[in-house]
Amino acid sequence: MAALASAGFLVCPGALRADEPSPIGKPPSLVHFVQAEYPKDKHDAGVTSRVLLSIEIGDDGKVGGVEVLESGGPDFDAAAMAAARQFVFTPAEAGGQPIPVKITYRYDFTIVTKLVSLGPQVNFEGVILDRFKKEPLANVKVRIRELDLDTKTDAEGRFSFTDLVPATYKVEIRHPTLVTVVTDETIHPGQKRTMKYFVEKKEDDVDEEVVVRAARIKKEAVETRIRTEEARKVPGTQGDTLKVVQNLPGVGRASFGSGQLVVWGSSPKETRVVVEGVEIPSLYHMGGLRSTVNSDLVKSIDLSPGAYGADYGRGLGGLVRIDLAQIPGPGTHGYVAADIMDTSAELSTAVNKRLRLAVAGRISYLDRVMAAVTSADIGDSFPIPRYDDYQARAGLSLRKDEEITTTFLASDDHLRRTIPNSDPRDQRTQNIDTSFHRVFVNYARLFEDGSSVKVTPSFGIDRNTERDKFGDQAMDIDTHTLQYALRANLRRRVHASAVLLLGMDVQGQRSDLSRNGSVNQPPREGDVVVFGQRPPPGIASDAWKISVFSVASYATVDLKLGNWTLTPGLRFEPTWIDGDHRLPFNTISTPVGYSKLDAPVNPINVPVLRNLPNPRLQVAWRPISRLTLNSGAGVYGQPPSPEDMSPVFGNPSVVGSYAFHLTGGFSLKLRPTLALESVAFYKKLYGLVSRSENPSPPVGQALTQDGTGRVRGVQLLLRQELFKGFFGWVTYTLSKSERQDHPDQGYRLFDYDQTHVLALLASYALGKGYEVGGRFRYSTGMPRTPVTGNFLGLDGYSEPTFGAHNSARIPAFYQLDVRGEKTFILQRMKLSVFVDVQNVTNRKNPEEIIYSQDYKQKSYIIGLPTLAVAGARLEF
Amino acid sequence: MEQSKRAFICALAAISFALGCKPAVGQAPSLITDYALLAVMGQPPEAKPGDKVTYSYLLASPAGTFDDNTAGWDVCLTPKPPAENNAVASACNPPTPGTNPGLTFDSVMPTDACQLFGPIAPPVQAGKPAIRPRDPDATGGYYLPVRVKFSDLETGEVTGFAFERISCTPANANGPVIQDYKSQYHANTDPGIASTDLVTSGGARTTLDTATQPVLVSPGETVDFEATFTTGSAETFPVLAPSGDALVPQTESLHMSWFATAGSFVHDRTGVASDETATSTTNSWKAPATAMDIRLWLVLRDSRGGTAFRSYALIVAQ
Repeated sequence: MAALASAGFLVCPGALRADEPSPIGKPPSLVHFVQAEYPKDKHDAGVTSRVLLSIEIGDDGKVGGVEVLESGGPDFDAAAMAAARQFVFTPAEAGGQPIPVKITYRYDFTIVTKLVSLGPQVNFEGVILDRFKKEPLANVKVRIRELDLDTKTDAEGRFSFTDLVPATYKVEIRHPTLVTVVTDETIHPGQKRTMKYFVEKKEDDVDEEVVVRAARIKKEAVETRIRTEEARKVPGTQGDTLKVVQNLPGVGRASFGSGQLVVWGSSPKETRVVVEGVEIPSLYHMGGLRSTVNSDLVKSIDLSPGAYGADYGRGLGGLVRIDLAQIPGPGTHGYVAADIMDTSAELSTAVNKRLRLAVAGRISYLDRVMAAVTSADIGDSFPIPRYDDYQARAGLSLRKDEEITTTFLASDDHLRRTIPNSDPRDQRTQNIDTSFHRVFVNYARLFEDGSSVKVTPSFGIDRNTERDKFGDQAMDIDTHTLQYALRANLRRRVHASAVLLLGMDVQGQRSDLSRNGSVNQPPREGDVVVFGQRPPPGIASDAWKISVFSVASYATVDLKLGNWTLTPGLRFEPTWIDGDHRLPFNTISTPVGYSKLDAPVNPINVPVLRNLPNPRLQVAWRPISRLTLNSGAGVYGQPPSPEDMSPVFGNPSVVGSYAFHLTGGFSLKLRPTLALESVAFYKKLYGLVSRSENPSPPVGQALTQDGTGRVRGVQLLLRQELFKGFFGWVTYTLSKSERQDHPDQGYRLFDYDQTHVLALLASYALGKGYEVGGRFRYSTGMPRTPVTGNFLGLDGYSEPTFGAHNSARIPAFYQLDVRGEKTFILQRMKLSVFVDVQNVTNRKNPEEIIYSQDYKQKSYIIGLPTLAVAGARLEF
Repeated sequence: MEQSKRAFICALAAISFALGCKPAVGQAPSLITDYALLAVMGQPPEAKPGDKVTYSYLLASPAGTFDDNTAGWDVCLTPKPPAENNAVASACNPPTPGTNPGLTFDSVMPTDACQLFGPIAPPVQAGKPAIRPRDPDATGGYYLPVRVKFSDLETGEVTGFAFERISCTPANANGPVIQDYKSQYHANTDPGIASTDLVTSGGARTTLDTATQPVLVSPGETVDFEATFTTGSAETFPVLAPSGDALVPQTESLHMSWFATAGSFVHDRTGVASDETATSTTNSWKAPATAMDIRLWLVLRDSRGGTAFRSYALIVAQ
């Protein structure tokens, strides 16, 4: 191995006046080159540089003065100047006579690695440094996962591996005091790979995450963070990282095929999903089959079921935060995967040292598979959604710890079905199209003192179209929303024990909506309705426009006071709401629009305090090193849904809802990778929107906003992080979620309430590329209103009479899933083949209650039978 | 083989969207094994406020049509709240018996029916906001619910509603359109079943008639019934467009409900869509395997609430 310097120069006559024409007939020629001494620490660290010099050459060819025009760093400058002073040139000539000149000389410090095939050769080496102090870290374990090969760093932080077979490997860097890093490294034939890793020390109470370079985010009072490589191996997810969210503590089991997130007894619409701070409308494709963001672009998934910090808002429920991974480099990487449902692929490449690109996509074909193997009209009876998603990213390193990344996300879903019938009044058709597109730019800079700045402007378009027919009753809903947002924050240490986070979170939405059909269709949470029930006969129509613009500012301070960590925060979220008509259109009067300013209020009956910014607080106390007691509280707001603001179908006067969250719990490290956590939680919801109970509601008040809700519960999590090839967790949540639709009514169970939710999950690497895993789930069935009788209704159809609201339940659900995977290392590629078998006991899980046409007999829709989904994934 | 194929289909379907698949539950509604209220209707089927309407019912039992003098009738004046998903308010169906007993019930369409159940908002009271008018059905109609309740049947209570169409002038339309509507719209009249033919698998056709001897069908035999509508059953009428500035012509769809005390129909209901011109509807029926007397009912409804029915006798024997 040798360090070489390359050079090039430009010549100008150094001793002549600038206004004289250049008389040079022959440029100087370097006849004695001196190798610059590569600064050792830089060479060892793999740092390259470039120095631009100005060299004076006398008429005798000797070097006179040497100046640095563009610095490559003090040590590189010094080395380059020292070498240049020893250069000897043939003199430049003018008119046949030697003359003095001044040349511009570029000295490139590059590292060229050559391997000699004599005996064992180190072909992967590196150094591990503390990210902020830049100090070498000794005794850090470096492991090649695929080969189950490991070593430890020496006193200078160095490590090396000998004669690795050329391939792409998962390199794991682990130490009890450090954040574990897992990164892909490719070993090419005949070349040595030299790396420098900057790693961070663990923050107190922060779980590990897969982070190579990013500003850390303070953990919320309650938060579960899952490593992407663990998530991919969870049974039942078919390798889809983001589907693991459905198995996290505090998350209820969604109705099969819905893909909804029910977090701590909140409505799916109350939980926000953000990608790099940018809100997306849905984490999953229709039916919950797949996530809408490619797993290979994801760095980490964080679920905060409640009481999260001040940097996020606009939701009464939980928060799912997805951070995207840095695009890998150098070289070209990617994967192709396929199973019975869809095919996906990802490709990333480093154009140069600064610019990296990635594209990914997925397209489903399950509907076509079914059409091919079953009768032609099977898709009419069994609705199979067709979905696709695609992403593109471009990352540009501007300079050290400063990067700008542009990301494009898109997702489409389509559902078509027709249920034919001999009576046209019983024929049903359903056509649903949903899509979202997001483009955002992420500027991030990390300063030497640990401060960071992040700015994320974004723009997006959401489209939702549903056209249903139930006999002669049609329902059309169209929603087209333009969304624009800007998030910016500054994180700075202002004191030895205090870190300040200041930020702005601007979001605007312009929605154009139109709707035709029954006020009661589609059903809302809280509706007393039977699954599949014919909608009541009224047909209404409206088209309306709603703009919602909110400028939220927030501030949070991380205070570390001995064993205590306090994170108080404030969020102020004024929201401007604008609508185009307050009353239904008519042929007589001109529509009159409206505007109003709204902000989430604090649920306290003191006017001064009620309208102040919403407080958030997280407190942690660590009496001993393995035990942390924590608590969180806060007030959260959510702007009104444009769908609820129609003067015909809803109520234009609705404003935002708000909630109070309170949590308290502990985290106990039983072993370095084994932890037990428990959290008790309470939520109170205010200003919920529900249907009017008035038989003759006023104009524009089909919905009212006098509902409240309350949720309380406790969750447990026993989690074994990846250790000797094994990881898993057991989570149990006991909760009760209730709603009071109107003040004169009592509390009822929330439609998605689940008293008990249990999940056991484990995965183990058997070695030689084999991995197996299992998942067991149990959950209480969701409440339903029992049918107590029937009567002959409109058009000769029976209609149900009901018992007490949500006083019955669907029977409990439990299911065992298993998964097996085999990984093959193929030269530079890795092939994984998996089988994911769901419901191995073939348990007939009731998913929904259905009734006979006369409502005299009850039965259930049964969920998934035993089903094996096989797939393959090729990485390169 | 067929079973495994079906399991595979269900497995695939279950991956995607199990909730869309609603399997058949319980006995077919076309099979009469207990008291069953088949129809409740007003005569005339559409009335203006202040008009007299006579309500009657068709109650079937395994022994045939059943007339019950203790049936109790009530007119309900409570509109359906937006929070309820049935076609009629739950307040209209209290557990108490009907207050007006009789085989039939004579009533007068309330004078404020178009305000209670129709497009005309009630007068605004001082200090109170205007009331939201009701939404019309797909035919532009509004309906008054009239309950009939049988409280003394041996096997329990049976309840049903007549939905009497109210003749209301559309609101939210300009003057010329309203004038056009008034000149073009004709109150609904009942559809009719002109004849019903039984067609055997060999092609032999017999017209059923309540006045003649019951038709003989072999045990287990599958026969077709073809019911022909009377001329003018599917009427054409104007409907106000949602924009309120135009009238859209619409033709009634017709829907036949089939009932029998034994055997099985292929379809419980058949029908003719509004854009179809068929003048009859057919259904297949498989006779029971054992000899018995059969009672057959056909109930024809149009999409504006008009009703007609016929009842026939069959004999299943070798």
